[in-house]
Amino acid sequence: MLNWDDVLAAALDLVTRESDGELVVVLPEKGKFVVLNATGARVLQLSDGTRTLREIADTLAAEFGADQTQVDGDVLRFAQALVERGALHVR
Amino acid sequence: MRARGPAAWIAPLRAAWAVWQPAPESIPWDVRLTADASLPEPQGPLFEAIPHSQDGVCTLVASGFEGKVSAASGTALLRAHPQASPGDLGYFLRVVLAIQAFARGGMLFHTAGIVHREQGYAFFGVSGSGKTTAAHFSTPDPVLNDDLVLLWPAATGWQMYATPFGKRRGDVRVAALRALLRLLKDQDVFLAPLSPGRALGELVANTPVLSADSLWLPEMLARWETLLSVVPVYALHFRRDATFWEVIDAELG
Repeated sequence: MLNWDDVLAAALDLVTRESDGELVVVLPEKGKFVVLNATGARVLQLSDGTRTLREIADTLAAEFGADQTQVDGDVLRFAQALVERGALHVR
Repeated sequence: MRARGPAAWIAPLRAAWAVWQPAPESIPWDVRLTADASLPEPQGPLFEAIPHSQDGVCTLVASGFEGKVSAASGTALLRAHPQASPGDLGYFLRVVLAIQAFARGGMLFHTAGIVHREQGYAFFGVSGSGKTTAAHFSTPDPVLNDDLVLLWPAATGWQMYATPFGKRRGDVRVAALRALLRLLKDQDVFLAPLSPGRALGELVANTPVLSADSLWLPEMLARWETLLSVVPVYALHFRRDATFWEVIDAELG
């Protein structure tokens, strides 16, 4: 289970391609892929090994001008899914 | 593809490949298989080895095996312990063909390629999704292969070629690719759209050998996008009978 003070980083070997508003993320060797919408893609982009999950959610809430509670739920869900698929890891 | 090596290895491979005609644009590759007793005994199938590429050379290393495939020179060498199985050697040739096809503009694709009313339909999905079932309920339509086909660009659209790596029905060796169909078992039978991103991910995940290597992935993603610009892709919800052809004929025939 992720915590808000976890610092997330993307896996080094990820290959991504934007396709019609979606981001396709492929994990070589694992033979897996994940398709992200704009919010998920931004979570992945902001997971650069320096930001905490809290900081990522705050950044997204400010960028989208959205309700913080709603954004928190979305960010946690996307981050958890990406960690489970091996696209993100906790530093 | 010209393969050389111990007669006991080459003879069964030649027999299996005799009925297969490669895509006309493919170039002859020099494949050498060498028995080397100094290697440790195989601890598992070569299939489990993950290919790694650098500077156009792909290596496959596992206990009992050392394989190298060079796209630049068109050569492939496998050193294998004498206890290597025909399946291991066949898998190496599959890797060679996957790299050869990709280097020449095509792609090996994990799918059941079925020819219906002279059009090619690619039924794809993960293991257990129903590729063999779809081929079974398509009798007597020709099946290019129920597991792996070769996709090749043509003047208009893409062509789907038979391969020697699975079961085949009939003697048709090529068909124009009409549609890509992601198999989903269901009680109801219908076609549903796939989002472009989802389709791209599904197709890459079913592109053997190359999808395991980040060196090839960017170009592969671009190539699948090119194919998707001219060939439609759908999710095919189907059940264990032939009614899916009624739906396909009504909407795509």
